[in-house]
Amino acid sequence: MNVDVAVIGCGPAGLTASIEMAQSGLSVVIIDEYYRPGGRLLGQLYDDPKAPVHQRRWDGKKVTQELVEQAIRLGVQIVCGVTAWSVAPRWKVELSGSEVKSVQAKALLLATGAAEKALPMSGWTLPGVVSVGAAQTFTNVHQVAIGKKVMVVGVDPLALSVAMEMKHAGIQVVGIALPSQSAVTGKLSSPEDALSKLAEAADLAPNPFLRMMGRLVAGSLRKVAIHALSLPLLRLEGIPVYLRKAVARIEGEHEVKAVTLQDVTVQGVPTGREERIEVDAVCLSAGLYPLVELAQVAGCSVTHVPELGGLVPLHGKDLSTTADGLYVAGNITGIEGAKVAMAQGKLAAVSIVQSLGKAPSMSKDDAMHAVEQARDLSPIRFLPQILEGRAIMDQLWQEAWRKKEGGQAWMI
Amino acid sequence: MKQKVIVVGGGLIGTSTAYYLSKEGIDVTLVESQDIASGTSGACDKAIMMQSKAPGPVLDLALKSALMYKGLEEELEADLEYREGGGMILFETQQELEAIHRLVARQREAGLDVQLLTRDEARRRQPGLADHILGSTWWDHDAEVNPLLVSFAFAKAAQRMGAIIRLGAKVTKLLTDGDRIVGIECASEKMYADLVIVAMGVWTPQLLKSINLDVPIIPRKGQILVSERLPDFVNCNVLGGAYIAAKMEKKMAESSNPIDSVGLSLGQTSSGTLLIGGSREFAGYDFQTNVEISRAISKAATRVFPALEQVRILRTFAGLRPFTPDGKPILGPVEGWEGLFLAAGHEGDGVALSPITGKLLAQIVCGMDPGIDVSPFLLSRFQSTVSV
Amino acid sequence: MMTNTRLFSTNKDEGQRHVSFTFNGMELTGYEGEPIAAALLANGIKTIRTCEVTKEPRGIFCGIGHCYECRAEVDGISNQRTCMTPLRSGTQVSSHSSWQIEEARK
Repeated sequence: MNVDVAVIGCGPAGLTASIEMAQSGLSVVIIDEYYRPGGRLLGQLYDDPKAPVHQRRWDGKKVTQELVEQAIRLGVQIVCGVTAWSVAPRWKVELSGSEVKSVQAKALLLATGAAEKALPMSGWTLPGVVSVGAAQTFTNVHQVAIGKKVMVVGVDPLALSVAMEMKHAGIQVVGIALPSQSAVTGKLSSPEDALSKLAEAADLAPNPFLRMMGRLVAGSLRKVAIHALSLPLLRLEGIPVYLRKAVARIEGEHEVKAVTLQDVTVQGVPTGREERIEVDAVCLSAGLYPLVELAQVAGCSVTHVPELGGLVPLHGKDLSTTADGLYVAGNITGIEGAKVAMAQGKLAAVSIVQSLGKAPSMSKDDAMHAVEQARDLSPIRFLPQILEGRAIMDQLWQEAWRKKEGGQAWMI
Repeated sequence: MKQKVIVVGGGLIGTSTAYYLSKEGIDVTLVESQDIASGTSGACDKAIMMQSKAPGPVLDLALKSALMYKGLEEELEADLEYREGGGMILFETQQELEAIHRLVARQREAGLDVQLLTRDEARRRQPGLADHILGSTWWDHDAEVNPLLVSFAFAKAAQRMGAIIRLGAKVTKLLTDGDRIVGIECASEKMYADLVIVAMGVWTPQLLKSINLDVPIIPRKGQILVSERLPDFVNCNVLGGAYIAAKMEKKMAESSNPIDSVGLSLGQTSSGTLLIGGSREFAGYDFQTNVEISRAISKAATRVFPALEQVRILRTFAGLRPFTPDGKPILGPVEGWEGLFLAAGHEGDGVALSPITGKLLAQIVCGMDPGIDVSPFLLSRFQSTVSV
Repeated sequence: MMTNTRLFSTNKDEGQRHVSFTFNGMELTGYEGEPIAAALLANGIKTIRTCEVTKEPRGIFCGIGHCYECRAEVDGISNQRTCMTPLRSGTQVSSHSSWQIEEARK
C-alpha cells in the first residue's frame, strides 16, 4: 500500500491529524492494533466543568464516532486490529495481522499514546487485580464490571476519576487508598504527595472534595490541608478516601478475596494496626508513560524527561523529530489528555502538510497556539510539571539543532 | 608478591579469565564499560557445539572447554541452564550432503565420533523436520547453556575469590613505559598493573590503536529471532547444513547480500522460546536489525520445520561477532609488548571456548604449562606477513 | 451463564447480538464484537490462564493489549490478547496451547 502519510495510533491525536491532512488533499492511512478506533478516548465519560453548559458531558465514544465519520468521509483509510511491528526510513511500515504486509509513505506520524506504569505489590498478579485504565475501559467501553466490590489503590486524578465512573455505573467502590511503602512504590505512597496531586484534579466535577482539597493545597491553606490528612477519612461522593491507611497486601488463593490496609502516619509509615476488607477486585494506579517503542525502532532520538512522563521522542515545537519525515502527536509527546492530543494532532498535520508542499487550513503558529488553548481547557492535568516539561523539551531540541548545524550528529 | 592483573572487558571471555586468574591467587581487577555481558556475550544463542568447529586447533580447544562445562555449574555454584542434548547438522540438498560427509570424515579423523543419520532417523531424534530433509549428522555430546548466566556466574565467582569488578568504566588508553604496558586509563582515572589482558571482543582493535597495534578483528553482525513460548520440542542443537558446508569448504564468497548467507541455527530456551539464527554481515559497529534478514531467517526456519509457520516472533536482536581472518581467536602474549595479553576474536565460538580461554590465560600468566600449543593463536601469526 | 456483571449505562454500543462461544469447552454467551475478555468477565470468569513459570492463575491486567496477561488460544491460534480480540459466534477459547510440532503421523 502506498500513501502520502501513515499514522500509527487511531486515538484523538491520530484521528484529528488525519482529518486535517485529508482535508489538504493528502492520502492517509491510520493503523491501530486495537480492534476498534478511538484509543483511550473511547473510555472517557465524565462531566467537564470547563466546557460550555451544553457541551458539559464529555463522551469519548461519541467524539470518536464523529471523528471517525469525518475521517472516512474525507477518504482516510482506517485499519484496526493490525500491528505495526517495524518502521524504517522513509517510511516503510511492516504490518502483522493484515492482508497488506506493508505500507509505504512519504511521512509517518506516531500517535501511539501512553501505557500505564506497574504498581507491583503483594498479591498483584491475582485475577481480579487490574490497572486503572483497564477499569475505565471495561466500565465505559465494554460495560462489564471488573468486580462487585472494588478497592482502588493510588490517589491521583485518574484514579479518583475512574473510581467515580465505576460508582456511577453501579459498582461498589469500597475505598480509595495509597499503596504501602516499598522499594518500588516510592513517592506513590506519600500522603503529602498525594494531596499535591489532588490539586491537579481540582476542577474535575462533580467533585466538591477535590475542588476543596485542591484549593487547600494550592494556596496558603497548605497547613490546613496537611491537617486534613490527619482526619481518619474523607469521602468522594460517598467513597471513602483513606489518606491515613495504605494497602499492604492483596489476598486470595485463586482470585482476589480481600485487601489488608495498614494505618500509616502522615509520612506514610505503618503504625502497626491493620484491617482486612473483603473485595473481589482491586484497581491499581501508578501513572502513565509515553509509548515510544516505534520511535526507537525508527531511529529517532528519545530522551528522558520525567516532567513529560518518562522517555519521549526528541521533538520540536512543530512536532517534527530527529528523523526526517517522522512526526509525533498526543501522549507520546508527554501525558496531557485528549483535548491537547487533538490540538497536537492538528499541529503535526499542519507541519506534515507543509513539508509535502500542500497548503494546510491554518498556520503553524495558529496551530501551536491552539495547543496552548487546549491545555487551558483540559479538565485534568495528569502531570503537575507539564509546562516545565514542555520548556525542557524546547531547550533540548534547540541544543540538538545547534549541534546538528555545527556539523555534529543529532546527539543527546 | 602477588601479581596484579587488569582484565578489560566483562563478557564471556573477560569474566572467565578473571575467575581462573583469581582462582590462582592473582589480584584481579575486571574493568567493563557497561555491565557484565552487555556486548556480544549478551546477544548469543545457546550452543556449545563441537560439530561446527573447524577440525584443528580450534576443535581441540573446544573439546577441552566442553569437558570443563560438565562440572561448571557445581564449580561456580550457579544454575547455567546447561544441558547436554546432542546436536545435528541437517542437509537439504545432495550438494550439502556430500560436503557434510566430507566434513564428518575429517571430524572422525580428529577424534570426534560424529554419526550420520537417515531422514527417518533424524526425524525420530528431532520431530517436526520437513519431508525434504535428506538426513543429518548427530553427535551425542553437543550441549547448550545460557551465556548470560555463564558470564554472571564467572563474574560472581571471581568476586568470591577476591576479584574487583568495575562496571560503567570505559577504558580509553593503555598506559606504557617504553615497550611495557603498565596499566590502563578509564575516564580520568589511571590504574596500574603487572599485566593487562584485553578481552574486549569486537572493541579490542579500538583500544589497541592507542599503542599503534593492529589487531585484525572485524565485527560481523548476526541477527537472532526470538519466538513466543512453545511446548518443548527442540531437544538438541539444530544447524542448517548450507552455511556449515560453505564454511568448511571455504567456499565463502562474501555475497554482497547478507540475505543469501543465512545459516540456520535453532535452539529452545528454558522458558520455551526459540532462538532462531542467523545472518552474517560486515556492517561495522551498527546493531540495527533488518526486516529483510528477519524474513530470510524465518523462511529458512519454516522450510526445515514447517510447523513453525504458525508460530509468532516476539522480537529480534543483533550481535557483533568478533571475526578474525583465519577463524581462530587471538590468545596470549603480544610480541614486542611486555605486560600485554589478548583474549579476543572468538567469532561464533565464544560460548563454547569461554571456560578454556580463561583457564589457558590463567595458566600462561602463572607460568604453568597449559598442555596446549598456544602458537596457532598468537597475534604474531598475523604480524609475520610483511608487506613489500 | 450470564451473571449480573453487565452494567447498564447510557453509553452502550448499539445493536449487539448475543452469540455462543466456548471457553475450555464450557459453553458461554456474549455479545458479538466485544472483546473476548469482556465476555469472559461478564460470565464471572476472571482466570484466563496460568503462569507458565509459577503456575499461578492469571487474568486481565491492563485491559488494552500492553501486558499480554489475558492471552489465550483463540480458534487454534495461541497467545492472542483476549482484551483486543472480538468475539464471534462459535469462537473457541482455550487456556492451553494446542500447538504441536507434528500432526499425527499418517
